[in-house]
Amino acid sequence: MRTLLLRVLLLSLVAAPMAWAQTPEALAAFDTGNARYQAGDYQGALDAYTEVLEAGYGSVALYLNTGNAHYRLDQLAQAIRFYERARQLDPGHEAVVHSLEIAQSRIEEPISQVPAPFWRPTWAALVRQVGAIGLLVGGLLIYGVGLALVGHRVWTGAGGDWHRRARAASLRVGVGLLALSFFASVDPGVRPQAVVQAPTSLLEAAEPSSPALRSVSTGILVEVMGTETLGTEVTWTQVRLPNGQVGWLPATALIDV
Amino acid sequence: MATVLLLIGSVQAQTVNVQASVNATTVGSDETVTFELEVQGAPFSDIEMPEPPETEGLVLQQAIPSTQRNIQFFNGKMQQSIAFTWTYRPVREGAAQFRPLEVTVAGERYVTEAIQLTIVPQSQRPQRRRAPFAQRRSQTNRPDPAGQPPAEEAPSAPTIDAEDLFIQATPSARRVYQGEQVTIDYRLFFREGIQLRQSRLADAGDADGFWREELEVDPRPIPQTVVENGLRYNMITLKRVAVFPARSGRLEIEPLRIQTEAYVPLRSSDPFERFFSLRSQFEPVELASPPVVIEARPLPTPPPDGFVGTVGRYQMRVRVDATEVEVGEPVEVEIRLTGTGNLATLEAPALNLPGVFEQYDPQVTTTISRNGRRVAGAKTFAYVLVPRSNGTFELPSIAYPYFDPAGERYEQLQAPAQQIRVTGTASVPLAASTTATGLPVDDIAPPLLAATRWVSTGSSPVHTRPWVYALILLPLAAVGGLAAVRRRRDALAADVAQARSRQAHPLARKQLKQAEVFLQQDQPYAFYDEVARAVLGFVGNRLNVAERGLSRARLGDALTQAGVSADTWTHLTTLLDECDQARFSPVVPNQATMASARDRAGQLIVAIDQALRTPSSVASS
Repeated sequence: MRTLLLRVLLLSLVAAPMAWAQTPEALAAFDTGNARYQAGDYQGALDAYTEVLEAGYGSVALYLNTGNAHYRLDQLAQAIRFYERARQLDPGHEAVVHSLEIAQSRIEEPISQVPAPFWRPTWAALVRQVGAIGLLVGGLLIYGVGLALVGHRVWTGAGGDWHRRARAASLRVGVGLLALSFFASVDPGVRPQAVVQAPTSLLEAAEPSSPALRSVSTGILVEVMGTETLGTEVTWTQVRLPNGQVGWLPATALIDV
Repeated sequence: MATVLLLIGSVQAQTVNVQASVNATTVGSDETVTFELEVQGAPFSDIEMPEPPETEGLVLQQAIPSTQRNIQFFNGKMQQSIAFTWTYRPVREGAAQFRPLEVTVAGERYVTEAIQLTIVPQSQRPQRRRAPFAQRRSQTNRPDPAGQPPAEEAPSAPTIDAEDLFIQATPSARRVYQGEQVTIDYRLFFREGIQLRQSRLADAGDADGFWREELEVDPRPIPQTVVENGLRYNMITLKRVAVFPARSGRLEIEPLRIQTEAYVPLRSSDPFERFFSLRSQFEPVELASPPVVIEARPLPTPPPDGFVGTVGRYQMRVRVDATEVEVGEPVEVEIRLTGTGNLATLEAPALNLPGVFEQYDPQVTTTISRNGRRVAGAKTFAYVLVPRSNGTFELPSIAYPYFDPAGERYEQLQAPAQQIRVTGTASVPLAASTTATGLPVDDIAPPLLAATRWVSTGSSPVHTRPWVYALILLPLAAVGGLAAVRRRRDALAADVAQARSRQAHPLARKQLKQAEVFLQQDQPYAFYDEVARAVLGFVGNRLNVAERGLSRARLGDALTQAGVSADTWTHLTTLLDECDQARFSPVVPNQATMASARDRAGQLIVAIDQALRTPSSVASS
């Protein structure tokens, strides 16, 4: 047992500097991508941006530039996918909104967007600003203070009105923040989304022979509601169109945002 | 057509035309009717004298026809015609007819068609026989050949006979597909002797639901002599229009109206009356064609993908003026559609270009030929594309479906995909204009060269991480443990016997360990003292009695009461005696003896502990 703990500790000590060493290298690829983009080498830029994405990094600039490279390469669905990612990070970013609108203007058959419930943008903004981790850390700290006060009370028997109030308040706030953190983790304010990457038809059921409800053009952003799998492979995806219409699309026609 | 010529025999180089006509098809019972056989394009010598036509309900007035020879110059060529005229009188009221008449011209036999007449009571006939074409201001409508009713009836004033002067509207088809062309000829028919002047178009005839194109006709037409319903007329084509139904259903084209002045000669046998009559003057007349009804059928469903409503017959040609250009250098893509159909409303094919090309609205050029009976021509869409980056890009294939009404099916024009290679780099932004925030109006935003905030994308959601649950539950467990410890300590503080019993083992173990140290250091007195303290201390703690001053007798009673066997007690007293002897004896015991004492002390502690744990001992205690 003692030996195992030592090994884990040693591995952590070695791995941590390696992880830190990857950061500048990955971010240097971002600059490389920008240089290639400005030189008109869009495929080269895309390769560099993909390197940063695969390293586990994201930013408004990275998503916007990746979307731009896809757009220049006439990959409309991929462009909209990355513009949408950038918009989720910063919904008010002018360049992102502008580029997304330009890309969406090329959708052959656009679909009107039903307004979202009033609370969803607020919740999404809170999650975006604070994040589930922020809520978790804050909740754990206050929750820890509350438990420490309880422990103090148990061990020493010390108490009093202020002690009781402080215990109750810190425990309630701490547990509340932890609950919010979990809720933000499960529902981050933006439902799972996907972009249609090839013209297809929205079907009534997850069967090829099912009646078609309507046609769906490349670049349409849909909300993913469920999937139908064959073994481990997802074959059909239940989606909600921007106008609220629900149906099934072949999984191969979609790319997740 | 009541009268046409039928040619039996070989066709000659010179066109021979044989026509039969009557001066009226509705005849009063007291009137006469003249039958005229006209032979055009042959000298009199080539014509065998024809026999008068056989009739039904008519009787011949004179067996020998009157003969009239006419010579005309038309388009620089001389044309001669010979007319043979017979006069008949009705036998009875009702239907009458002239049967087909055979005539031989230059050895060829020609046969006219029968002409039907209606003989009516003389009282129903106007006084036109005295002045057959006399009329005043009038409106005339001929029945539509398809049986449409006249648009308007003539007023009560003396009218010109509807057979004498009328406009005929003849559509090329009455049942067509939506978008298919219908050609309508508006032709003016007027009997011989009628002259027209100062004619003007009063109403071109609204065609609601149609796209309309005017076709060219001779602006100064020469009247043609034609036979219509057995009557001889002069005919000119006033107007020719092409209409395209814009929707399906029953659609009507309103009448075409002209206002003119007509001169009608007075037919009288009295030359004096003909010369001085005031009736032979130009009189204003308004004429209207019958309305034309077109049944437009909807196009077959479902239409093919990309169909934009084009109907007709077309060919497509796509031309790209350069396949290798530099960034920013324009490329012109010209799509040319030629054929017959409604070219004016022809929509451009869908052009799904790669986003790298800046695309401008196409320049559209339409050339329409209107000098035939069908609208034909070409429409050209010229796109200017400006590549914004280098690379090899594909202009996708262009598909253009249309409906061919002749074949009654959809056809598809297809142009293959073409590749364009773009070289060089763009040194300056190509956006022509920018928004208030500096972004290009018609293009995506430029790249952001610096990222201000990076986020980790590989992290899993909070609720799926085990350490989160550990961080929440561990402090809770710690507080719980703290409470348990506290409760335990309080309980021990309240029960001394229990506390001493719990301490018995650790203390005994500790003291035996210390004895081992003394053994190793070869300190026999200290060793035996420690062994005695360990054993007595253990017993005292387990039985909750004070070991100091504990006599052997009290110790024996207490152990016996606790259920410790006599054998164990004997071993205990032996050991305690050995310890006492060793501590006070001048003879120093050896290491083996001490080790034996250590071992027996341990065994005794275990044996006493087991004896005290047995239920009998507990119950007895």
